[in-house]
Amino acid sequence: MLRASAVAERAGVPTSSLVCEGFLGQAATTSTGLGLPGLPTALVPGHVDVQTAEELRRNVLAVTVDAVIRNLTAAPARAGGAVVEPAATDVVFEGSFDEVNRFFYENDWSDGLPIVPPTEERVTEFLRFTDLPGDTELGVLLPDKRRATVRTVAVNGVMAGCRPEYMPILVALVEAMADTRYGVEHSGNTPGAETLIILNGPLIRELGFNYEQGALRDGVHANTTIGRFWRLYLRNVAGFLHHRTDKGTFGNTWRVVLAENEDALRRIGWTTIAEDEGVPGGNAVTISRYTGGGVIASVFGNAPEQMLPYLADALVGKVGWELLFTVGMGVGSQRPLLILSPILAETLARGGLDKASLKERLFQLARIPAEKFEKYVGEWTNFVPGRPSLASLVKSGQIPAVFAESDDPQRLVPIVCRAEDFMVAVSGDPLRTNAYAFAHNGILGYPTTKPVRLPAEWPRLLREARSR
Amino acid sequence: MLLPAGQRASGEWIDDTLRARAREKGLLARTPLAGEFPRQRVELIRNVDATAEVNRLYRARGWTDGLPIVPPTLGRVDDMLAGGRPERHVVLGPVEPLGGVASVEKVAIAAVMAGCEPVHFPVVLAAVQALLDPAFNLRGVQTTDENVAPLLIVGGPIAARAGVNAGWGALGPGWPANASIGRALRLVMNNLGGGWPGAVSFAGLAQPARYSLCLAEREDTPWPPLHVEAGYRPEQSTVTLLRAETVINVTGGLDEVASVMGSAASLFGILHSGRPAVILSPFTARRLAREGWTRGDVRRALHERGRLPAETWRRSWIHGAVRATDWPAWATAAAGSGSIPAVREPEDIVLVVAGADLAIAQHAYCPSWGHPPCRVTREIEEPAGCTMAGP
Amino acid sequence: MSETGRETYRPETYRVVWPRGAQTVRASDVAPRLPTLDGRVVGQLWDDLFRGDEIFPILEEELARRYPGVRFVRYDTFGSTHGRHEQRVLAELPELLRRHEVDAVISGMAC
Repeated sequence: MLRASAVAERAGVPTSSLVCEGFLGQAATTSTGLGLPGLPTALVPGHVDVQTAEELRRNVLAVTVDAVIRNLTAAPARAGGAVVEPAATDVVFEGSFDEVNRFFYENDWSDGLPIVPPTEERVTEFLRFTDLPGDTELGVLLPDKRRATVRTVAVNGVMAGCRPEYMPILVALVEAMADTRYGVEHSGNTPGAETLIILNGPLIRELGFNYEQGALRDGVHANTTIGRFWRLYLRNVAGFLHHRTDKGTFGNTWRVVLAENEDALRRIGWTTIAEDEGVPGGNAVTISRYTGGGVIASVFGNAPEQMLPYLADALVGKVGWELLFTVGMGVGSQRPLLILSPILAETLARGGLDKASLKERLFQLARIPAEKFEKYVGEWTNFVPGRPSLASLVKSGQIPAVFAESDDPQRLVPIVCRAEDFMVAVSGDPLRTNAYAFAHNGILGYPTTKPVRLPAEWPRLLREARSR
Repeated sequence: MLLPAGQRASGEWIDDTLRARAREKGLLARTPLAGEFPRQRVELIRNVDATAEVNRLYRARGWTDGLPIVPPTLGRVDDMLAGGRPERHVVLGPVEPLGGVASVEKVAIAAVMAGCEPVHFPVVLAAVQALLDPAFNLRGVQTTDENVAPLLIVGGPIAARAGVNAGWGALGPGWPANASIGRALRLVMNNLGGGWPGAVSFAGLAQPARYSLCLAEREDTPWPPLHVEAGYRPEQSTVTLLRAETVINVTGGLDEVASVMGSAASLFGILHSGRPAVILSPFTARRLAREGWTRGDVRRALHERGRLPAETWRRSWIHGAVRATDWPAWATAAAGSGSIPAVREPEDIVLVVAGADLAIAQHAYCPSWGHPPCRVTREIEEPAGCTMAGP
Repeated sequence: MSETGRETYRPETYRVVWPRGAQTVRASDVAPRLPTLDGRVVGQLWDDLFRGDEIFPILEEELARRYPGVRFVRYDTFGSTHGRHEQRVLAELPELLRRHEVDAVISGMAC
């Protein structure tokens, strides 16, 4: 919303931005990244969701109106000069391991776990594993509008405890983070969703990623340290900090990298996530944001029709308010993720399904009564303005006809717009009949896939790394 | 060490502006290291005598009031904040005129530097909130050529628990709470607001009260306490913040106070229809109360008797310096009938009972300066579940 | 080595670099303000959240009462500022503001 105000200001039109009390601090900080300090805000007291109509009216009349007038008519403070900050290769601190850690933590550069002190030697070692020069700009990240350079990727990779040979993956991850399709600027939003990184390609085996039992759990070096790198980079270069730019009510911590079980996929002739997302063949990372998920345990059955109702029900159970992203904010942007253990995938494949037909079946089965759907996005959350019915949204052409095939409020409607919106991955303990369903944060962290570029000397470098 | 410097919401550090201003005015000699510090939250100082080194650096960077400060280590700032309800990154507002953001943490840093104990912190927080009230006109106070100082009056049960003195020498040295709470306010004004003398603050002389001007009202006054009169419950505690042009000592009784009020000392107060403070001796208060006077009666008497002769007004420097239309209508009308009261209405006088109970009664008159008329009161909020032990 | 043969342990010292990225933004000034809202055109921008649909009418009513001749261009003219089409909406915004001769904007809701 403040971004819209910034655009108007730059077009020469003065603005007043309406801000609830709890957001004031973040608004001031966000305005920095937009290059408009002093973007004036008009306070709406309290939080609007818990006020009656009368209270809201009283508050707006008592406080907000005057602030709006002030914002639009009173001369604002002039902007100041640039900030003086360290250059890329400056040594910012010298000290013992404990001192470095304390210093980094208290300066908000660390996540609270011990970091590996980023010395120039270590950074240089990381830079050997990419052909891109250190000052190559991969993008500029909101909210702080700082440059995401190859060098800063290396520094944060060192800190996270990554190995130098992970560098190509780290670079690809930041390219994905900087892609506007992903929407990194939403990473501090109130629901506090957390990214999942999915890795495909030969690197899974070359670098020793775990893709079997405990695939989503810490304990294996590559999966764990790269997951940590992601949030360190969000902190230090994107600029998300607790109680300031990060407004996640609860949040989660970084997720370990999920590597797909490509042996299993090959055996049953299924495509990889990267291939599904349009990046065929080879190494790729896919990032997407999820508010949470859960295990679907003990999926019983030896044929799809026995297994799918349970899996479909789990997907419905996870989605809840995020149906908003199917019909409201970013129509059709909700992309739930289902992770199948290899044995479940194999059973479904034996029953004649590939990923596409599986998604079709899920589209038919993962359904919810229309009345309940409308409650999730209307009465309970007030997310879709005017609380239009699914029928009226179909009528105005905003959502597909499948959402209003009759008037019956108990009619079952899908939770996504198209079968292709489902995402299916294969990983986890190969012999356990468990699946995992993730609830997706829609347009606020949209699935984005990037190929991983290896340096020309990769085979030699990898050999050296292995013999370390 | 947590850095006490002010950073605007947009990210700039005010010290860059301050360095430029100091250089323009040829004042860099006072602050040779202005702006020279790492632009982050903490820095590490290593030295055999770290306290001396911190003081040397902070003095050279312009972060002190000239007296030694207590280095704001992480531990000390954490102690200052312990049990505090406001979370450390909560923003109270930008501090005028340079707009450094007053977060609870930055205020705690100032409090540590000033020598406050954790028990003083709720008072400091309330005082800073009052300081940021637009009615206080902090920008005017910080940048004017007048010598005005903020006057902090603490009332309610917290005053005693925090050790804010209302008795012997309440406006003078020797009372840690009075000294450090006022000092914390000044450090906030200096380090977050950028009110550097000569560079941003153009007060020609300033005054000793700019180090600290803080006291409590006596609990044993014959009248309802100041904060109750202002509408708060007896068990609540408040800070009242006024703009004091100066502190004039008056020995004697009401008539003596009135005579000082009816002098040139009140000219700015009249010009701005201000709210001055009268600190009344407990001796005088008791005597008047015994004779049946209420606080309101005292104010009315001062309003009636403390009148500036119209001729003095007309011949004053201020009268010549401002336009006739700048004077408020009530003053011009009163001048027409021969004398002008120091305030528009008796209620504009903030009457506080403080000081030692002496038969040679000591009072003080603090004329007001600046617009708009201001008497800012804020409740002091104690951290929940915390009993404040006295000093 | 000391006489007992044990080395004295000296913790290593690390010279470390900065983990942040360089800022790209130079703060710029906001647009000039209006002397008054009398007879002006006020645009509304909304992100479809947090009861803007209730708040904007209240603001409209009160501003119209205080400033005769003020006109409003409602939020549906511009599209949601925080939806799937956010980037398109923002890209088209300057031209739309020009076309509708908007003098000032009220933008909500950030909660």
